[in-house]
Amino acid sequence: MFNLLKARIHHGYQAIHDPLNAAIHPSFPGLPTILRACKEDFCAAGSFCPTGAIGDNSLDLGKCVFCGECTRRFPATFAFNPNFRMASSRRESLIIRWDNQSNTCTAPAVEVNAALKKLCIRSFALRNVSAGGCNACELELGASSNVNFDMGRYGIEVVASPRHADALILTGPVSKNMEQAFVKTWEAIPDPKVLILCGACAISGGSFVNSDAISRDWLQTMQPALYIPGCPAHPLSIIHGLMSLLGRVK
Amino acid sequence: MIINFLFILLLPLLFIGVINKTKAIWAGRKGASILQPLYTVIKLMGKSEVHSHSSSHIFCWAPSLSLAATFIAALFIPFGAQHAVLSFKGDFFLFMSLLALSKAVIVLAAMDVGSSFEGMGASREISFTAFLEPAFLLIIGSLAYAGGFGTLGQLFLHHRVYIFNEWSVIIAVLTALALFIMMLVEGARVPFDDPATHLELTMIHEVMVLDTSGVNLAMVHYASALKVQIYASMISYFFIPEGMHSLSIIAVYLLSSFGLAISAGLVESLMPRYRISRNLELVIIPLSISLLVLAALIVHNLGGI
Amino acid sequence: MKEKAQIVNPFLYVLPDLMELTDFLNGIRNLCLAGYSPLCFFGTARQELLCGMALAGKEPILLRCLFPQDMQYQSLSMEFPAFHLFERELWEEFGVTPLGHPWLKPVRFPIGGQQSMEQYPFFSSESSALHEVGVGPVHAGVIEPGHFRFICHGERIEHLEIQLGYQHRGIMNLLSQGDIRQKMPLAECIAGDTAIGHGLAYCSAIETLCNVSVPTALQTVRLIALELERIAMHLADLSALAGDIAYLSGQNFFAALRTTIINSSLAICGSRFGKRWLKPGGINYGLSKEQNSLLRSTLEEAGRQIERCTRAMFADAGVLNRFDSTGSVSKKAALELNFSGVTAKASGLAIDARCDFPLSAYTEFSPLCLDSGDVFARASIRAKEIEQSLDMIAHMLSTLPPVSAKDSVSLPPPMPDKLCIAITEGWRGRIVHVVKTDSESGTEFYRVIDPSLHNWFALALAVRNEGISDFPLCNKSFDLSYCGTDL
Repeated sequence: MFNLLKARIHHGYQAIHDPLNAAIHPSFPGLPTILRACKEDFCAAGSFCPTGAIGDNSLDLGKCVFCGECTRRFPATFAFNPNFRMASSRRESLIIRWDNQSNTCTAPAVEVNAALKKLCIRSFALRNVSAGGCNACELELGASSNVNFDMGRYGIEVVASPRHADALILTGPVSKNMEQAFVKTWEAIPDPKVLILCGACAISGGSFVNSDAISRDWLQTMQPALYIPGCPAHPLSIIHGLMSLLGRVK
Repeated sequence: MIINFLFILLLPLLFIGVINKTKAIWAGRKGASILQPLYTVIKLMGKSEVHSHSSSHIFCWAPSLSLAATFIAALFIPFGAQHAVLSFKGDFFLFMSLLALSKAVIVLAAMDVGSSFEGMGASREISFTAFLEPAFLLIIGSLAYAGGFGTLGQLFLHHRVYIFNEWSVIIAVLTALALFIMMLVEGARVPFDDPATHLELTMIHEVMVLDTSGVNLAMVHYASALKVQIYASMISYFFIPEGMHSLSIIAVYLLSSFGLAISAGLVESLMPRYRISRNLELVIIPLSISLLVLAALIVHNLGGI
Repeated sequence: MKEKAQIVNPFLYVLPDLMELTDFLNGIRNLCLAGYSPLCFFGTARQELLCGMALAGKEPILLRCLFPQDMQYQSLSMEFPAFHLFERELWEEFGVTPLGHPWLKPVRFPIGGQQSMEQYPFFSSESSALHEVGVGPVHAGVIEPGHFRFICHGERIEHLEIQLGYQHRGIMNLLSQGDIRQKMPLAECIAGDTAIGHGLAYCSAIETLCNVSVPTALQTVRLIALELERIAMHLADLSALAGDIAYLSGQNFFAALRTTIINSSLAICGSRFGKRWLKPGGINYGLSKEQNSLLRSTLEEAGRQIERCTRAMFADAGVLNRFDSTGSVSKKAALELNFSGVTAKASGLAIDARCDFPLSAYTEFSPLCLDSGDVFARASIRAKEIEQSLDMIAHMLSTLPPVSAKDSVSLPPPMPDKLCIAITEGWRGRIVHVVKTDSESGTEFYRVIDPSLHNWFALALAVRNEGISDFPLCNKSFDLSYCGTDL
C-alpha cells in the first residue's frame, strides 16, 4: 500500500492543461510552410520525396510522411514548424500551395460540421478501424485518451462497438484483406455518422500507395469529414482536429 | 413525491459521473465532467438505430421493458423522501421480481442476436444473479420479518443505525456491506466487471449491449445507472435516523450517495479485476453475509444467547 | 556473463552454390540436430530455395537449391517444428507443397480456392459439448486486426487458431523496387512501433552492401535509440497489461512514464516513435552535450518512478492472482518453435541478438531469463529489461562525446550480386532482414522476418486450458505485431 501511495504521489497530476493550445517541442515537424517559389528546389525535391507529395509549387500534406528530406536539403524553400494544427475538412486544402499574390502559402483549415456539432458537441464516440496501418497511428489514437492527453475530458471517447459510435476513424491505407471488414463496420454505425481519416496512409495511401496489396476503391467513393495528417498523427493533432470539427476551438 | 421522481430521474447518471470523476482524479487527469453520462444519453436519443439481420423483435422492445421494470422497482424505494411512492405489504417480492425481469429481458435480447460472446456474457450475468437473488431475499426478508413489517419503505424507516444499540449497528453494517457488493456486481463495476474495458471476451454486462444503438442504448445506459442508484439508496437509508426532517433527509441522502459513488470509484481505482472464475466465489459473499444477518436477527430478537 | 561473440553482424555473403534438394534437406537436418535454428527459409522469383541456419555466436550458414521439379518435397516441420511457418509461407507464395505438413494453411492472404479472408479453413469441432467463438478482425479497442477462432468447453479454451494477413500491404515487394538506399520511410513502417528495430536492421544491411562503415559514435546513438524504443514499448506493455486487468493505477502510471520517454525521443528527432532518426549511412539527428545531459537526467528520474510503480504493481495480490500461472509456455515449446524475445526469455530460453549476433558497437551483454513462462514472467522480464536498458543507455551516454549528424557517410551504389543478413534485437524479439542485390546493383529480393511471425504460435499454445476471459491478458503479455507478421 505504501509503495502504491509513493508511486501515486510522484505521479502527480499528469494531464496537459490545455491540449488545444499546448506548446510542443520545437523539434516536432508539424505544419510545413513554403518560404519561396523556387522552381529548381521543387523539381529536385520532387525527385526524392518518398511519397510524391511535392509537386510543381505545392506540398501535399495528405501524402507527406514528414521525413524532413526536403527541408534538410532546401531549408530556404521548405520549413516544418512545431504546429500540430494540421487537420482539414477538405482534401484540396491539405495541398499547400505558394500564392504569388500574397507571397505566402496556403494552410489547411477545418470547417465545423453543423450536423455533428448539433448532436455530438458534448459526447462524441469514435470507432477505430485499422486497415493496414503500421500500428503507430493506432498507438497515437490510443494515447489521445491516456492520462496525459485525456481527450475524454471533452467527451470524446473510443467505443467498443460500431453501434455505439458517431464516427469511424480510419488508420492505415486500406489493405485488400481489410476492405470488407472496413465496409461492414461503416454500415454498422447508425446515422448520423462521419468518416475521419487519420494519418498519411489513410488519407492517400502514404508509403504504400503503389502496392497492389491495398485497395482504396470503396474509400474513393466516400466523402470523409476530416483529414488529420501525420506519420503518425500526433495526439495533439488528433484532438485539435476532432474539436475543430465539433466547433469547440476558438 | 416530487422529490422521489426528481431524484430517480436525475441522480443515477450523476452517480456514474461521480464514479468516473473519482477514477480520473486518482489517475491524475481531468476526466470527463460529472454530467458526461447525461450528455451521452441525450446524444444517443438523437441517433438512429441499426439492427442486425439475425435479431428479432425481442431486440427492439427488450430495452424499453427493462427500463420500465427498473423504473417501477425504483418507485418502491424512498429516494430522498420519507416514504416511497408505492408500497404495500410484501412489496419486496415484487421489487426483486421487477429487477429480475429487467435483467432477464436484457439477457434474452443478448442471446437473440446470436453472437457467441454475447451469449457468454449473458450466461456469466445469470450465474451471478443465481447467487445474488437468494442473498437479497434472505437479507431483506429476514429484516422485514424480524421487524414485523411488510413493506420495503417501513423497513428502512425502522432499521436505522442507532449509535447506542450494538445489534442494530452490526445488522446495518453487514447489510450495507452486502448491498455494496451487490451494487458493484449489478452495476458491472470493478472488481467484478470493467465498464471501460475494450476486451469483448472479458465483458459481462457491456457485451450484452454491444449491438444496441440509438434510443435503446440510451435506455440501457439509464436503466443500469438506475439499478446502481437503487442499491445506493438502500445503503443510504441505513444512515438516516428515524423521524428526520424532510430537508435533512434529502441532505443526508445526497451526501451518502455521493460518498458511495466516491467509494465505488476508489474501489475501481485501487483494485484490479478478478478472474471470472474467482468472481463466482466472491459473489457468494453476500449470501454468507445474509446468513450472518439472519443469525444476528435471531439472536437479537430472541434476547441474546 | 556470456562472452562476446567474435562474429560481426550484419553478415555478407555471395550466394552459395546450388545443391541437390536431398543434400539441401539433409544439410538442414544435420544442422538442426547440431543445435542450429532456422533464421530464414524462403523461395525466390528465380525458383530457388534459400535457407539460413544460425547458432548463437556463429556466422549463419546459407544453403541453396532449386525448387523441386514436381513442386513438392517432404516437409521438415514434423521433425523440426521451427520450420512450420516458413514452409506455409513458401507454399502460399510459390506453390511449393511440403508433404506431410501438419498445418498447411495460408499465412497472409487467401489463396487457391478461397475467394476472401472469410473462407479460411479453420479447424472446427462437431461435438455438441463444445462451442466456437470467433473474434475479429475488427476488435473492440484501438488495435490492429486479426481473427481468433476459439473452440471452447464452457469458459475453458480447448483450442485457439489465429488467422492473420489482414494487414498485408506487400511491403517486401515495395522494398525490392527502386533504389534500395531510399527505403528508410518504408522500413520504418514495417511495424511503426518498431521503427528503430527494423530501421536499424535495414540501415545496417544497406551499409554493409554499400561497403561503408558508420563512425562508432553514430552507431552508439543508434543503439541508444534502440534501447529507448525498447523501454518505451515495454512501458506501454506494462500499462496495457495493467489496463486489461483493470488495475488502473498501473495503467495510468506506466502510460505517463511512457510519454516521458517518448517525449525524449521527440526532443531529439521530432518523432515519438524515433522515426526519421536513423538513416542509411548514419543518423539525421545528433546528440549535443546539453541533449546528452538532459537525456541522462530525464532517464534517471524516470527510472526511479518506474521502480516505484513496478514494486507497487507486483506487490498487489489481485494483480499477482491474475498474472501468476496464467498462459504458460514451456521451454521445450520455445526451443522447438523458434520463439525469441520476451516470449522465449520468460520461458527459460536466454537468447538475445545483442549477445548472440551483436552489432559491432555492442560490448558485453547478458540476456535476462525466467522460468515459469507465464504472464507474470513476461511482465517481470519486461520490467527487468527496462532497468537493464536504462543502465545500458546511461553507460553509453557517459562515454559519448557530442555527436553531429553531419558525420554520417554518404552511400555509393551497393555491390552487385551480394547477399546480406542483418539481425537486430527489437523489443519483441529477433528481427532478421535478408537482402540480395542483383548484377546491376538493383534489389533482387528483400525478406523481412519479424519475431512475431514465430511468436504468434506461443499465444495459441499459452491459452490452451485457460479461461476465455484470460485470453486478452495472455495476448497482451506477448504483445505481438500484426503488421510485422503480415508485412
